[in-house]
Amino acid sequence: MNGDRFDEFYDRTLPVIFGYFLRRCGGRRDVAEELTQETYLSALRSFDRGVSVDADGPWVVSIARRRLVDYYRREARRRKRESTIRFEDWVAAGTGSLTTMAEARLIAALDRVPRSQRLALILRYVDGLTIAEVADLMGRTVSATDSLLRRGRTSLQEAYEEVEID
Amino acid sequence: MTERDLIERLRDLDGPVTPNADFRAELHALLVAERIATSGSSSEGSRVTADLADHPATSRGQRRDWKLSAALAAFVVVALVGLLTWWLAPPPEQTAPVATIPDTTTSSTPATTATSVPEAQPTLPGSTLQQSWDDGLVFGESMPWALAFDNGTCCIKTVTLDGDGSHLVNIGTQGGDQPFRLTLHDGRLVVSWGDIYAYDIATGTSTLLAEATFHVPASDPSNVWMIGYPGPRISAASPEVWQVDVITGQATEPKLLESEGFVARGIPGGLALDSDNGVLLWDYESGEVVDSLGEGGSSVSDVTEDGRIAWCAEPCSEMVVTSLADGEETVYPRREDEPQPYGTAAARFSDDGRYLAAPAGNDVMLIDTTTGEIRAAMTFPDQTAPHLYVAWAPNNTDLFAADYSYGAAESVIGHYSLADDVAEVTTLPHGGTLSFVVLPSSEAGSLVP
Repeated sequence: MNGDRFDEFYDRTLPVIFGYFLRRCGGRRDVAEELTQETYLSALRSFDRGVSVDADGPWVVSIARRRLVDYYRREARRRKRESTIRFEDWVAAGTGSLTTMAEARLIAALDRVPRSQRLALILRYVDGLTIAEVADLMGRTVSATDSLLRRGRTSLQEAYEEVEID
Repeated sequence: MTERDLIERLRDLDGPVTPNADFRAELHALLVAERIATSGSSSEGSRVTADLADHPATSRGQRRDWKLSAALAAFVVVALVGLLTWWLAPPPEQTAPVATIPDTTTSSTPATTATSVPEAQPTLPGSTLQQSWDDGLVFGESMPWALAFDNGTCCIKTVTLDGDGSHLVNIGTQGGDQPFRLTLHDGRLVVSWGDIYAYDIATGTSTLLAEATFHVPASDPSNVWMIGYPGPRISAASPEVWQVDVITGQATEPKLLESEGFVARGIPGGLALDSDNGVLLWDYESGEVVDSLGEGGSSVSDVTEDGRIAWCAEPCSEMVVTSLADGEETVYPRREDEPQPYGTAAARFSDDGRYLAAPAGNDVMLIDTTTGEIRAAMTFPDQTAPHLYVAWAPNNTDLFAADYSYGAAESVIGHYSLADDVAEVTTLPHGGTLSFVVLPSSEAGSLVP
């Protein structure tokens, strides 16, 4: 891919990828930026290796999804980090449709759900993967993933009732 | 708000967000520098720098900064390349010829017909060594083994344990950034995610085995089971399954697997499936589930050549080994003072079937199925778990484990010698290790260019 094509690809897909991470990482701008950077470096290196793709949009989202799963695994190593969200930070992270209080509340609630349950909920419902696909990405059995999703839905409902946006 | 309403809101939770200008500028500059660094040519650097001048996301001030950064980076790269070229004449041979698995879009007919042998796929030209590291001795002593890791993206990462260093080798890539599944059969690596290929380690050539979604090992070590879902991905639909000989490419007729559960491993005459209702044993001839093990959510770890299956029921506080021939069952519990359950998916039998190595928390537990003894063979540092993989050397004596380090800067690997009862865990200064296989370094061939 030459420089012009990569620039066009970059401009077209950057808001999609940044929005993808921002919503799935508790609205944390620093995390979304870090993962966006990793995604595009990976994409660039793939192009430089001569990888050819028909639909670059879904392709780069598939890279982003793996980076997201990896991020959640790294989070397990770092243990728990601060899990709060400020609406002003959220809005300051970027511009686009991510500006409603209701959406911010949902993201904040999602962020309070235990890590593995949160990832399962995101992959299943936000990304729209099948349970088998979620299981494979997370390295779990289908039945364990199903159970994880059940617990995740309950946790999300409880968290949603508790969460408040500053 | 009801659970259903929340799920509906989750489904709508998407849409573009344009990051702020500072980040856009920073990222684009990074990508330009990366492009210049990898191209190693002044013309490429100039061209990309020129591209940047017209980039719509660039303010005038940022453009100036980018152009300056890019020009500086280009100058440094060109100067270094020139200096090295002068210093090292003639340039050394850096890579060995290694085959690249053909692009899936150009692959030919899969081996899905009984007794058919797939056509040999062309070997693509060009060397494909991606990177090398001079690790020296990884463990305290030289060992005659090489560990071949699925690095999760393009390549296989080979770590030699005789002081010869580590190598990242491209043995074939599919579009995108998908992981491989990696198994070793008689000197051939079978890699899958998307189409399934057999890679001859000695010759560096690849053969398309089948167009399927993924593969699992069969109980016969020279065979694999293909699992093919309609469409390119795993889905709720019933897959077709068939068995392929890795050496000859001969395949059985595909059969529809109409059962709940998810294919985990091959067993004599069929497949073992993880399911919510125990481990299901599916028979190829009849096309039916003919037996089950346990109740509730259960999953399979590994199967020996003589038909003993290691499995557990969630939450895997005990590992069960069942003989499929006579139904004899032996239970191996975790010790009470070690509450972490077994990591069932990663547990592996030694080739002779005597030992079962199973990650559990930070430990790799070793189960002697002959004596019933259970002990911790290796203990990894905190926070490495729960993603540990294990693999046995073909001598049934050397056991290796590695953490999940996809995308990480380091990887932690461990060795346990049954002969000496000695364990060593060490950190390599490069990441990208997922599941792996162990083979003699003398047979690592094209994996160690």
